[in-house]
Amino acid sequence: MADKKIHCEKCERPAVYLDREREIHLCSDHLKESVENEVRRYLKTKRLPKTLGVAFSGGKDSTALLKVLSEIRSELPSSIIALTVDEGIEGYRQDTIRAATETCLTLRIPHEIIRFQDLYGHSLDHLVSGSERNACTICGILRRRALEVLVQKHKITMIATGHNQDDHAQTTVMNAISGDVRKIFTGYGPSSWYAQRIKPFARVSEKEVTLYALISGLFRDLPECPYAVSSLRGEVRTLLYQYEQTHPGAMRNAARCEEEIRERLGEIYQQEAYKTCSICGWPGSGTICQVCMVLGKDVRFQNFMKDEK
Amino acid sequence: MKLKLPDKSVIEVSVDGRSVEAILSSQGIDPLTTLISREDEIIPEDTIPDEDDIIKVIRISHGG
Repeated sequence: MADKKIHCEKCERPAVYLDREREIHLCSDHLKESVENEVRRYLKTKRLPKTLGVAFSGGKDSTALLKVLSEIRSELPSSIIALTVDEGIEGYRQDTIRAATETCLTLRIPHEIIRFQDLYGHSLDHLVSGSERNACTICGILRRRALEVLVQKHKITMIATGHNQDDHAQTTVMNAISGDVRKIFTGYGPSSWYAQRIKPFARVSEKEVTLYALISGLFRDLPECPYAVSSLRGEVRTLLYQYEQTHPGAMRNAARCEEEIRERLGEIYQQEAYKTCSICGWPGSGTICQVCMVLGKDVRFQNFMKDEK
Repeated sequence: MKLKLPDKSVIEVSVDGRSVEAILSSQGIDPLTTLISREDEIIPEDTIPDEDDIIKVIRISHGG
């Protein structure tokens, strides 16, 4: 039988990855090196704090991110803490929370979990039942706030998330499809309430991230969130993969698109000031914040926050 | 060639000099959404398999 193995561009070991844009193959070691170098390059552009929070769901992206950060932690000025939000999604979240706990023990990274049930009095399953709003929208709003509660508890000023290049490309196209110009051309100024978000995988594809987790022995074939099936993101994802296959680099270009527009706008790019929510007191886009709008008359969260302050 | 799909089912496919990528596409599977392994080793999707190969398709779950 002829050896039909494809070899690494850099070392002749068997390749595991085809970089379609650069038309090169990489072995597991060089793929790992490539991903870690991209994260190093990204982090050099940021002023890292003493403690860096990592939004850690236990899925492949945040697991790979935690692994990269643990690999390069001796080069970082920051200590790392993993922050997990348990939304309460039956048949899905138990497995990923367990995986998250195991990964943190393996990597020896401190880990903190916050539950919707404890913070809001209900699980996501309960909160979305009977609601006309999209489950992903509700979850996103409540998850962000839950993470910020952990951030305040630990006095963290910066959070790294596992968003990858594919996620960015999808968001750009989704914003264009929904005509949400405000999201693209405006933003909010800094607030002492919220931690700065950074995305070290912004230039790393989902496939590279998945391979990194697999090569590192941390990939688990976990279920997908049951609420994600019918989302607009799923449709956009399918569309973008079709483009990427016939036009390698399309995903990267889409991901960079919004960022470049903002860079070129310079000072014209508007940053609005936060308003204070009249119910919970947190900063938000309106006089009633999104969290309070989702929770409606349920006051448990408001009481929780008053107790904390 | 045997193709082991993420749902654990196995299908027999003729290679005919095609890459795994082309074979997956012909089966309606987007190669960008999967990882491919042969004898427990990950291989790039442009690999041309042998007729007696068993190729496992690993689905990349989204999110996380």
